[in-house]
Amino acid sequence: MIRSTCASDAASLHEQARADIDASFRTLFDEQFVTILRLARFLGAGDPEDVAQETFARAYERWPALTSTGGRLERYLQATATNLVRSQGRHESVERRYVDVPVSAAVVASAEATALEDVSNEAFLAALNQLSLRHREALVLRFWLDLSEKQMASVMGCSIGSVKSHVSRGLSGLRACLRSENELRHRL
Amino acid sequence: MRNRHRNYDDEAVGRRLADALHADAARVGKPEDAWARFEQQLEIPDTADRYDLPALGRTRPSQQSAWRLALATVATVAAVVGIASAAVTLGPDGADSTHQIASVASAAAPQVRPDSKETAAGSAGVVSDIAADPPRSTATVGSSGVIRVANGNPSVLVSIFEDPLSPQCAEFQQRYGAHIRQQIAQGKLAVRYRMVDFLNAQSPSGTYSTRAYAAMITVAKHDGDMPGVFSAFHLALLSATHQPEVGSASDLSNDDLARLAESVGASQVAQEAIARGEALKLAREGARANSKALIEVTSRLERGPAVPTVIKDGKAISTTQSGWFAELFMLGIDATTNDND
Repeated sequence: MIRSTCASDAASLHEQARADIDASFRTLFDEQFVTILRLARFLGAGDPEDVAQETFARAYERWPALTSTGGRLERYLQATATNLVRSQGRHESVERRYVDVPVSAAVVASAEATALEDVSNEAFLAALNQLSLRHREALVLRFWLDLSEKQMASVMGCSIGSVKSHVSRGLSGLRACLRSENELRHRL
Repeated sequence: MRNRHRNYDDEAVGRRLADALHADAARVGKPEDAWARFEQQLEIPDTADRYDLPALGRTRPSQQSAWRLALATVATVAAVVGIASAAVTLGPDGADSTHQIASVASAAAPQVRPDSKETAAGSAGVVSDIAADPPRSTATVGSSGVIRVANGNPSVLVSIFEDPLSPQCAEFQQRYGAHIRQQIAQGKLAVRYRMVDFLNAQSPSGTYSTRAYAAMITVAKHDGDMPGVFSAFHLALLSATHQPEVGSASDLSNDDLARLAESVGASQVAQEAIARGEALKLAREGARANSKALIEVTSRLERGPAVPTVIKDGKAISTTQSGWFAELFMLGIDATTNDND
């Protein structure tokens, strides 16, 4: 006959199961939090840490389902963060367009570092911030996270064709920004 | 795996951009309190009180963070809409399910015997209790002990977690069982019953929940293709008449379970199998797997893992929210793909 399962057995079994979830989730959190935070910042989130926190909260909510699909956790996090920034962006883009504060001021913490390399980085990031959100997403995912076109398509929720077009137009936009800035500087 | 770019300019700009992004990313470190903030946001309930099973209609007042409140608001609006459609879907006789359950179970009427489909259908008008449960549902057992009850391949699929000894589960079946069976019979709903055996220790035999689950598995396995038999057996087990009381002096032996199965029309083979405890091993393993799944899915809920719990599309449904049942069908999109048995 069967062994009697006492309540404490059941409780410890449950705690064990829960501990397993928490341990694996904690690992992912520790590994990926900073990446998601940086991603949110590059995409121009108003409060990048808030976006990162929310991203992980959503992952935690769906944790059992996510882990059973296997191997796509990073992509899920990236896509969630991207979507969160997008939905924020709908509210904020209007402000950004009319308020003449370079977003790069917030992005680049220290203007003290005056090496040519840094100035140049700053110019790049400022130019990046001039682009539309889709183009910015495409460039950040492509050149910072080094995603393949297929991976980018899954994160951005669009076709590979659109990904290609966003990258290419993003780069053109970037070049145009830098060129106009250069011209401006020469004229001054 | 970099893409090939159209021209040198693009490539150079891209490389330079990559450098700039990497250099800048390095300036942002991980905030020290990131995890602490995260935990705080989740408000993970204390594990100790989450094992005080179960709680139908006993949800703690919520103390949610802002975004969860927003979600709750959306859900409430949906629920209000749901109430309206419940009235339409279920019709006027939907409300009186308590009485029906007791009488179907205790009558254990031979005319319910589903192997004589004609009789059952013909007498449905006479035995009005059966109207809510035309014997059309069939049951199958998965390799992990999950019992699927359906009529055909409906688009809405839910998992229901129960403990056979739980009075709250009996209460749940009394309230919603008739609706559930009706929708199953009409081919609109498939239910995966996943039993847990938390409450074993509170039964006189110390094994009741597991044995009752094993009996359900046995009936589903041997007589699952006889329409309505599993439903009737499940109903009987969770009826006021037959469910042992928590902490009472005696519960049902395997022989008793076999006799109960007989009374709802189970075959001789199934009865004998129940009496000798055929599916105990599967029930024990199944209950363990079910508990684990239940805990995973409900880990973020305020009330924690409890029975009964209804899960659709991987999410626990708040059955204390009026209108939840009708909502299953309003939002029922392609639920069959979620069946990961």
